[in-house]
Amino acid sequence: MELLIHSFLTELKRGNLTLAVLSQLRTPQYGYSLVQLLETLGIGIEQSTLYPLLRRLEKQELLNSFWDTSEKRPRKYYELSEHGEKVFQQLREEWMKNTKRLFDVLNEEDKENESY
Amino acid sequence: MNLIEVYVQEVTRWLPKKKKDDIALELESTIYDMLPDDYDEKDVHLALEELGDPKVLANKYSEKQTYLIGPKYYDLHLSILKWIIPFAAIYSLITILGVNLLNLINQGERFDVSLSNMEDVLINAITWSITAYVFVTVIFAIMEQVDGKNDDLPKWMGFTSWNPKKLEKECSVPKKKSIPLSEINAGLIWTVVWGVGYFYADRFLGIYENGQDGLRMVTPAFNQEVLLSFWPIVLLLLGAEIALAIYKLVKRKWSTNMAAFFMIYKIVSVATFIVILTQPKLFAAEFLTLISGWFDVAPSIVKGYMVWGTSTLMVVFGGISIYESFKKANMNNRSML
Repeated sequence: MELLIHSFLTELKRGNLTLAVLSQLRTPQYGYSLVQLLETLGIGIEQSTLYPLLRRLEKQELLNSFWDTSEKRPRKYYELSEHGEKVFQQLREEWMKNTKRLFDVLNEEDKENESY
Repeated sequence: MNLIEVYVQEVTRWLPKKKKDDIALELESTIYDMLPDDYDEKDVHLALEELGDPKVLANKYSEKQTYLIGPKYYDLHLSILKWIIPFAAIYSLITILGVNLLNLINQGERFDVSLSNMEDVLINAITWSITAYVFVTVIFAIMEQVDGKNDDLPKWMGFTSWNPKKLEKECSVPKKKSIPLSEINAGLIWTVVWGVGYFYADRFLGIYENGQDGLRMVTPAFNQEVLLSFWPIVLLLLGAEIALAIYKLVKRKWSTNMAAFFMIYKIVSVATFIVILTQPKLFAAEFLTLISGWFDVAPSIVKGYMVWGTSTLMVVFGGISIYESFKKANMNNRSML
């Protein structure tokens, strides 16, 4: 049963991850700094998922990237593009609406249970 | 080389050249980010373990399909294999038996089905099946690669996508109207048989005698040159039969169009064979003499019987089959509902 729950949760998280990543890239971040940032926000993410995801979002032109070679080792920074900002806002609204709806539905059940 | 470099190399090995260096640099820098300032081998192990199997990571980077034939083409691929492999096996059986028969007759040897013969047939059947499998699979793999539409909708027979009309077709086809696979296969095998029979008639068809050297052909039935003078139209007829088989395979039920196609084919084919039959020099003289000797009638009468008997049979059976095909095509679709 735990395995089943784990696979459901992974599925639930997968779609949300993109939103979480996009939300944190208004300021430029490099891979590992983004991992740490998300972790402090309580969003755990597998690094092997995050790095390819960043590249995919870049390819879809939601992110811009640049190399910073001024520090002791070169780092690739990612930042939300203008197009990315628009897409993010739209996704954000949809997510809020849908989540609220689902929240109400699930919450309703709680109330029903309480009334027994 | 240290562990980190090896890991990065493992990940980027199969990636396209364009992305390779960039990913390698980023990945390396990331791994060093993960390590504390004064790290040791244990820290490196931990960091690499967190990143996981380099192949998995490489797959995520490459975003390419890691399968040959995906869900879109899987069912269609399978159903075509299910059809083509038995056909390849049966086809190989017939060709090898035919070639053997040909050799035996030419060399005047006794026809016996020896074990080595059966072995040949078996090996040939397996070879043909594997060839068919590889061929079909390669074609499907290419289709999967070039299919631009990434809609994940499975393809059906006829390479179309599903719509509710397909259900109507499935449940409303009366049993008699549908075309079983066995009929299509039998038809194709018959095409091969009569095609070979036509082009090699002087070696197969004739009167045989069981002498000391085994089965021996005394005389062929036909003059091969007369037969072969019709080869273009015969080839056309063979092609039409194969086309009809493919048509049936795709549709799997009789329709008016199919029946019309069948009717044109049948009329042309019967007409052609009647023209061939009535060629004055079609039958070998020796063949006619031999038969007339058995029945004690003049060769010209034997010839007359054969020509008009066969022609009549062809016209009658041809007519019946055309009638049947239209009857099947016009069967009420709704009668089963």
